Amino acid sequence: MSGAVSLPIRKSWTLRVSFAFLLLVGGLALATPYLDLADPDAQNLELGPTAPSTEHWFGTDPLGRDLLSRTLYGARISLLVGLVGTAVAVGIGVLYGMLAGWWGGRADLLMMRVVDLLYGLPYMFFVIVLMVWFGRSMINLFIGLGAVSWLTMARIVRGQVLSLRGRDYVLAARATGLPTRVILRKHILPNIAAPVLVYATLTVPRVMLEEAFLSFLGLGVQPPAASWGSLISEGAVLFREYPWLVLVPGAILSVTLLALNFFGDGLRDRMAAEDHPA
Amino acid sequence: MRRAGRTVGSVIVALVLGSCGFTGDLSRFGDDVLVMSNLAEPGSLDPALQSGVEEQRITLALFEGLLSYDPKTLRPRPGLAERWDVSRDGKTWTFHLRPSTWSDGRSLTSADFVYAWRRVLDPPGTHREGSADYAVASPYADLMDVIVGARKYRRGEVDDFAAVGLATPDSQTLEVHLEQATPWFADLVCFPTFMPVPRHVVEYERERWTHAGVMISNGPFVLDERRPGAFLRVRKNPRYWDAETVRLESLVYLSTDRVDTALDQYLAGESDWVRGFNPLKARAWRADPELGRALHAPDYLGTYFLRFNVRRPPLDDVRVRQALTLAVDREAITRNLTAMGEKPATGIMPPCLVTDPPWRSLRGRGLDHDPHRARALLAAAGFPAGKGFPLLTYSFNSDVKNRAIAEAIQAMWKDVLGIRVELLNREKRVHLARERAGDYDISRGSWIGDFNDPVTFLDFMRSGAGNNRTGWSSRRFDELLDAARTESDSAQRIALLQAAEEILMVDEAPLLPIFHFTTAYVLRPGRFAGIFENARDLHPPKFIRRLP
Amino acid sequence: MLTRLLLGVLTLLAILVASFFLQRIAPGGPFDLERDMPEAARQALIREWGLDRPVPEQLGLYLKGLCRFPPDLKRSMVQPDYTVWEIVGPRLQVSASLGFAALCIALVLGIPLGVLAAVHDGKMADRVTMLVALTGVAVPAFVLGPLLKWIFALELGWLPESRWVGPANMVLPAFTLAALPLATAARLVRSEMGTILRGDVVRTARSQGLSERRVVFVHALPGALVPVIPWLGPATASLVTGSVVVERIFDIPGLGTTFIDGAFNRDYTLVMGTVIVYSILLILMNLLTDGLLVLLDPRARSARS
Repeated sequence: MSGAVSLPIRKSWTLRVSFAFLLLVGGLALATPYLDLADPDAQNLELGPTAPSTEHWFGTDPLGRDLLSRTLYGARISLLVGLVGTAVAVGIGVLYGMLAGWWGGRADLLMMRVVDLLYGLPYMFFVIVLMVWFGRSMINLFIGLGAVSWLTMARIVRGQVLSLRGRDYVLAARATGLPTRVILRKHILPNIAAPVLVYATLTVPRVMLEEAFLSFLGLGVQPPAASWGSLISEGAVLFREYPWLVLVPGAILSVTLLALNFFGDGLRDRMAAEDHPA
Repeated sequence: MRRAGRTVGSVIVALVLGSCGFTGDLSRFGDDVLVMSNLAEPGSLDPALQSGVEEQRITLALFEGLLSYDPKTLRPRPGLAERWDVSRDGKTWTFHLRPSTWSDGRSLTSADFVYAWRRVLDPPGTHREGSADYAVASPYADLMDVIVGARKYRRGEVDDFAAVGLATPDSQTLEVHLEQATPWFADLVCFPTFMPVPRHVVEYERERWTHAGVMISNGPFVLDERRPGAFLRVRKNPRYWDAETVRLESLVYLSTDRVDTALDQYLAGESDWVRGFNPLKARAWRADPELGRALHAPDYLGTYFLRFNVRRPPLDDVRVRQALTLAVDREAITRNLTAMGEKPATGIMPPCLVTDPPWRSLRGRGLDHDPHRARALLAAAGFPAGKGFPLLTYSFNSDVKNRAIAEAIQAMWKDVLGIRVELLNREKRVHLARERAGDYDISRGSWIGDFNDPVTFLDFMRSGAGNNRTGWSSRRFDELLDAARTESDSAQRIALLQAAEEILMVDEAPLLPIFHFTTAYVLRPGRFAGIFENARDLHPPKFIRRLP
Repeated sequence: MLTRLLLGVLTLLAILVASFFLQRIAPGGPFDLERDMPEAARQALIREWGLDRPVPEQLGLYLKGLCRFPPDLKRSMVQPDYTVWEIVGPRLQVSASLGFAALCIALVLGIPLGVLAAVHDGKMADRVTMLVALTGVAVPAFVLGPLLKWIFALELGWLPESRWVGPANMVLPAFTLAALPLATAARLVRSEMGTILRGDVVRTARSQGLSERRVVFVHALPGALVPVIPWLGPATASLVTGSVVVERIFDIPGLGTTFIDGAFNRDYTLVMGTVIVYSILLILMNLLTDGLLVLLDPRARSARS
């Protein structure tokens, strides 16, 4: 309502660096099949686990497979899973939470109990039953991941909307008879974007690691294919014996996630600077 | 005032800490202790209910049967029975009990054995004349089928327990009548299912009878403390008949279920004996002299194999099954993957099985690795160079080792035969349910010998047997097993069983043997005596002592 | 309030019913072992547990048991030496104390870190704080746990390596467990705080000449907690009921492992017991945090005015 303070858009190097890094990882993942890499599934049982060398930059795993190419092929799966899983979380979570918060009252009460219900279900059985009924395709993997990842997002968005609903500018907009759709889009959405963005970047790693558990249960990616989640969780127990098995993919995952978080933060800062308050 | 505040404060701290559920320090138990990572929370301590090795390890401390294992050879030696006679036809066994008591001082008689065995055979919920008041569903009740009438009684075909071949001429004598001469019966009565249980506690306390403070047993040790999920502790039983031999003051079984965590505990000195190992760490441990010395991997009475679902084409064609078998380089798997000294398998019979006369291995005359023959057979079956071969699935229960082996075999079939299989990892119970329902193409399985006789490795593949699960049946195979049952000449009997193995593993090949197990464990060198490497990974705690 | 409680009970009931059915649909049962148990024994067990009856009838019997006082959670199917409560009770104690410790660490460190970063927005202090907080997001627990254990227990020997013996055993697992929620809290606070510090409330407060600290902590912080509170409900419930990963790494007899092992073993009764505990906690925590939300920001009352 009060005149927007236009803060200068800071030159944010973290935003740029992290964006560049994400582009690089994404590009590499896309280009992996066209690169001249060792077959990620080709075994060399005699060789076994070897530390990084000029021949195998990232070393080899206990089956003598090249870790560099397994990491890059794993990136394709993990990034896809991270993106889609988070998109589902944001899509369903924001819509559901926004409506619950906006409608409030009885509708809100009931809608949030549905969320509680989904929280309470034993997830493992949900996944097994999903698999038994609908098979183990990629689509089902996304359903399995998306099914619960949106719940907390919905709760956060609902809390925000409840708090925004009573603000003067929203009340004013309502008084002018603007349709709900427009109010939600124009006045509510921009103001919840910050926590949504932040929580979305926090959802990405959760979904990526969750994928390793689902593939253990047999949903989604099947061996010999690897993902970052499975590489790291299998490498973690061999950490003292063959440290590179967890350190190399772990470092790549960590840096990617850091970049993603800084990117999210940078984006949020820019948005805040551009149109605050609504 | 300040003092009062401090008191209140310390009370609060004590309350908070008290409610954290800490499970107690193990160092307070003194020196003559063995701490072992048992790698699983035991299911039930009731000997009749046992199905896993984790429980059996505890039972060997808490109970003693008619006979007990020799720590070195595992040959049965006198236990509660100080001697035993076998009739000339091998069908009547008479055990003469020594005077002994339960850990509460009550004397133990032959009636205790009859009660315990009857309890195993009585299915719960059936109320028969004089049946055990608190009966249980024993997962190994079928081991008693060698006793006259036991099978029929157990399955409810006969209601009268008198039909079961047990007799107690007096309180110190137990007479057992067997259906056939059963040379391994001495071995069987060492098994938990055959151990006595204290009726006076069992019937009174029922399900709670295995709790600490309630449980009464008759073995070298008694239950002292039980912390589900953390540890279980037994201490020396002063009323044990041979208490002088028992040297350990107490034994702690940690429930730590993740082997890597247990290995950390070993490295930190918190446990001295880890009953397992992560084979992927083998290379690194062997390279370290100190750790290498701690690592043991004796042969184990078990075989790891794949089941072919012979109801499904093209696996109904024996040539296909043989080709798939011949194509797998089992030596490469044991040398590089399992890497714990496992022996590559051609037959089902593990080499550590002791028979008289010695078992003639199929190695060198069975379906050993032979890519050339494999390709020829596959071509003969109508799939030259794998052309036209349908996409089969290979399912296994999720586990690092199973996965590595599956990936290796998948690669071998692709290289040698030019065929593709899809790997399906499943959660264990789903895997088993699918296997049982015959809903698979190729499925990972294994078999552990119940006792030291070749029969245990062949009987499970009889036509229609519950553990067969391949749909394969062979009249000839069944007949050979039947003939061996009644054959009293040992050499003849072994010859019949060997012929049966040849049908199973060469002529028909419904199973693809990969390797014979070893049991890897980590034992702190130079600290304990009385622990010997053996084929069943059984180490009666009675004989273990701590070195100074 | 009464409606909320009533709804909570209904939600619990719905969770129980759905879980009950989900379990029975999943292939495999508690008495299917790798080596088949004799058919007669298996059938006897199935009869004894009523697994041969239609599922709705089984559910009805189970619910009837729950209505007793004290509620009858039945015996564990796979660990028949114990009742479900005898297994779940002590483990809940362990998980709750560990989870509570982790939650305290996460909030006590996470919120101030978030505030600090927001106040120094864009400066080095912001970046460094966020980098520290972000380790929790970027390093998964199954890597962080072994790493902490290796450094502080095996190499330095400062802390016990595993097991649940005394307070010292809590340190490493609590920090491992706290890493992710700490990062989450810090990030959510920083983001919202940043927005608020640029907004009207703060400008008004500043113009009244209040000290910066007072402005930040009294006027800005409550608003900045708005996105944290809804997250806190489910996060607390899941922290307090244990984490499989942390429990496995540090060999802690907690509830997370109990649930997952129960699920793998198809120990129907044990799984139901843990589901009940978790759901009650979740519903209560969500009730509590929803109340807290209104308290922090009275305008956020859900009922239409």
